[in-house]
Amino acid sequence: MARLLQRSWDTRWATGEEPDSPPWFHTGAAWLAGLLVAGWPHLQYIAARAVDGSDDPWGLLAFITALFFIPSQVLSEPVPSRFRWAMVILVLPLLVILPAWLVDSALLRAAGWVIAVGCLLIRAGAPPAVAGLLLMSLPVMASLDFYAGYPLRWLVSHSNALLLGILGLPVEASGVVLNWAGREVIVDAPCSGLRMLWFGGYLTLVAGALYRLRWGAMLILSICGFMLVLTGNGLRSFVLFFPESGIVHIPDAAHAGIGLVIFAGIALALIQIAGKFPQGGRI
Amino acid sequence: MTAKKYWAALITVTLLTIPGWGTASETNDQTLSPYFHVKSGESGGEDFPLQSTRVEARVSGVIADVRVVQVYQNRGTEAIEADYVFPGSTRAAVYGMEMQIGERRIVAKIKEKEEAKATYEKAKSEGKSAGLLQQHRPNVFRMSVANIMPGDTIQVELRYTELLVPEEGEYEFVYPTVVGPRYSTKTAGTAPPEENWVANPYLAEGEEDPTGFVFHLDLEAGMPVQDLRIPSHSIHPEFPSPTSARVVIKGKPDRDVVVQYRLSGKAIQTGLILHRGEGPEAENFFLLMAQPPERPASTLLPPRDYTFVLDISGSMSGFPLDTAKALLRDLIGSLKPEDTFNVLFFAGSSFVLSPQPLAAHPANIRQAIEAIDRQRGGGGTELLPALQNALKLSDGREVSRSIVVITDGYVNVEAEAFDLIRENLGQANLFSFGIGSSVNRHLIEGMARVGRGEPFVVTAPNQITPQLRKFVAYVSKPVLTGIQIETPGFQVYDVEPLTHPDLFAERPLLVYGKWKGNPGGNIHIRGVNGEGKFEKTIPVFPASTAKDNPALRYLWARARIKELGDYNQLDHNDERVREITNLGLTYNLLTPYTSFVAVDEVVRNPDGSPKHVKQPLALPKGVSNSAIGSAVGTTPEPSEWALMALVAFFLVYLVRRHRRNAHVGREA
Repeated sequence: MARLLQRSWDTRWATGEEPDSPPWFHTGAAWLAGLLVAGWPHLQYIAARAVDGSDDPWGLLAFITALFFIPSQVLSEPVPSRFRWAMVILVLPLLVILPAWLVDSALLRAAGWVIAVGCLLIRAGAPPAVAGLLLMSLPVMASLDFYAGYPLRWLVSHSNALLLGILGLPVEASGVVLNWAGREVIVDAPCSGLRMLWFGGYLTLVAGALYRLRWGAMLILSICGFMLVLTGNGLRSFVLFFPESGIVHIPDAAHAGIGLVIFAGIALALIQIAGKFPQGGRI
Repeated sequence: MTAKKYWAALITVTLLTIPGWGTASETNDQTLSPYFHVKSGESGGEDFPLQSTRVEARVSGVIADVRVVQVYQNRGTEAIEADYVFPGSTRAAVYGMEMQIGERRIVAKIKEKEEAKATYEKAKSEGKSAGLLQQHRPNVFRMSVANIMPGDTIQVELRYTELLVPEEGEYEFVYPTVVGPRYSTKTAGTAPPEENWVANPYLAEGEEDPTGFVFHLDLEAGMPVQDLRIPSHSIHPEFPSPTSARVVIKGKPDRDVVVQYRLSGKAIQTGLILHRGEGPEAENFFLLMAQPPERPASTLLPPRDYTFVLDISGSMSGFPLDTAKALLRDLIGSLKPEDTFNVLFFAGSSFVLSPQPLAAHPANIRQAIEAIDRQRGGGGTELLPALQNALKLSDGREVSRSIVVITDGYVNVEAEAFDLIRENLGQANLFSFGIGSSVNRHLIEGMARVGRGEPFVVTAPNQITPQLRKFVAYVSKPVLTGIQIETPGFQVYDVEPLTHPDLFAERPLLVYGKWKGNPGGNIHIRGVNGEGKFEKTIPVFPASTAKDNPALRYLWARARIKELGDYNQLDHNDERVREITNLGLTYNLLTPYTSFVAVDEVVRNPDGSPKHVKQPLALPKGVSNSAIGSAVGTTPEPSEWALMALVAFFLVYLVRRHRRNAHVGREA
């Protein structure tokens, strides 16, 4: 049936007849809808993790943002036939059949699906940052908290101890605990900087998508963003050591305000860096 | 992408941040933690609804039946709902609860946990007095009593039974009185509601606890009692007859009550107890306590590697850490030169004494003791990372390995710890020492159980030497391994446990189960000890059912629940959860998935919204204020909503900047 339709379409093209609008099922919108339907279990998984309290809900924001960056012509233009066959042969099995057999983790299966969707969108003209936004839509915060939370906190506490030592304060870092003059300041779970990392990453990718940065530029911008956030989080914890250890006294609201000011600095720096790269054009 | 889409996206994002405007401080990301009680300051308020606890324990042979009466009073001027978190024995089978209001006595019903909670909440909102008893851990329970009116006195009575199993010929009855403050990394926003008990108020060190406590124990051993000691309290027991004893304690609930005794001639009560149910569909139960072989006098002892894991967190500060240091000094001092060892210290993080195991030479032992003496208690109790590190420590040699964990157990990650040990232990054995007056016995016993070792509890410095001697004997000379049990001629089913771990302690083998038909035949026990194969046959006599033993129903069900769930992390869809729920409902037992609820049908508080009051708990004896950790600062990130508001602001800036640049480019 598809071959008949394809032949009819090609014949009309060969005879010089101005083709009408492509059949609805050849358009990018139809294929994207098909991919979303094929990945429905993954969408359900992502949505369920966002609302059941086991992970943060911000992934949905990243997903919606990614959809906004799909070029409008991708939706209305026909998908080339070789592309359609590639999707049928490679992508649909990748999305639906193989992962269920081979990969036990729902998160990894969902990751495979968003990568496939991202690659297709980029091939069709979307900026590379869209793939990053789709990956950020996955419910990974709980896993990142578990695996990366403690190493990040350890890094923060030891770098703080070093800096404070340079300033003449004999602070000892014991794991994630800073000891000074019989007092303790703990770099505990909410201090790891993972939230700042997520929002910093989101801003980086939106900037990259808006400026239509190429792969190389996007990679450099992402690395810069990561380093800026890590440094900023360390600086935030360093500054907050003083009120938390009792050396200075500040109002409670100023505690969060310091973190927000530092994050604002990070965001501004990211936008300035993104603006330095060549922009626009087809990727 | 059109400008309209940009603005639509930005407006959507900005709307999403509205709930976070003006709130810059973290709320749901704060970890659950105990806190110091602060007087409400309201005149007419009731801060301590639990007036007193009275415990009446009767030990008959090897079975203890315990009645606990909690008296709640409201001396304030408004209706209250009292919430009281209290401990229980890890072996307790809680089978009954009653509530008394004035002359009215209401018998509680056992229901599925959520159903019981819904019944309780409905009764509360309707202005009825109600009681709800829930289990959070095998040794942590919560009693909630709603609509205690001004001037009311409400008595709640619960009953449980447990089996006393002697070890090395000594019986021990423990009644825990206080739940120690637990360290938790679970956040208030993401932890399930049943974990909220961790966030409980505590009285500061030295602060007067107005709650009364009375403990009565009547022991009828059936054989002459000798050497009865109460190491937890300085009181003298009474002996109405050679085979009976009476202990009365009046004081404050700030430490476990521990009663230890032996029977004359170091005898222990063993044998087979049968219970025949009544009615055509009734079930019959049996309990076998079989005398183990004696510990072999000597065996060839291969070199052994020890990893000592020492808790140096805030709750260990003071007496518990001093005791733990003394214990560890003696433990390391008792090693043989061909043994190797290492020490891992943990609180908020962990560090090892040496990257490689150290030979137990005097110089290394001295170095270890100096490092141990330098430690001060402080910080959180990150048990899981410490266990992970300890389980990974190995230099690849083929030696017998023992991991020894020394802690007070004040954490709430018991199930995670059990899973971690079970999955990563390999061929090693794990022994656990609980240090303190009210240790978390569920953690201590559970770690040893899944670690194929033995638990020890040291409540006072004078117990270090006897516990150490036991440990050395256990490690070097197991009593029985490869245990198998058969019952030819005796029709049994639903036997617990299904498999028997190696026996280190001289403790009777316990087998619970059900039987049918006529009791007869034999029970064969086989195993291996240091002197070769071991076999024992116990005949089954119908006369064993002469005495009615209904407690066996509860004890069997509790044993089954223990195997299914005490030391396993269960998902709520797990088949084992359903089985535990059914056991609780069938045998009227409190479990993690079944609760007791009692409702007085008289409406006494038409308003239906009593003030919620959590009963403040005393710190366990010997535990300092640093267990609560009020003096510790933290540096949390700004709230997510505040970060999102900033991101939204910068998105607008980004879009406007991009449009301006694009406009400039077109003009150029």
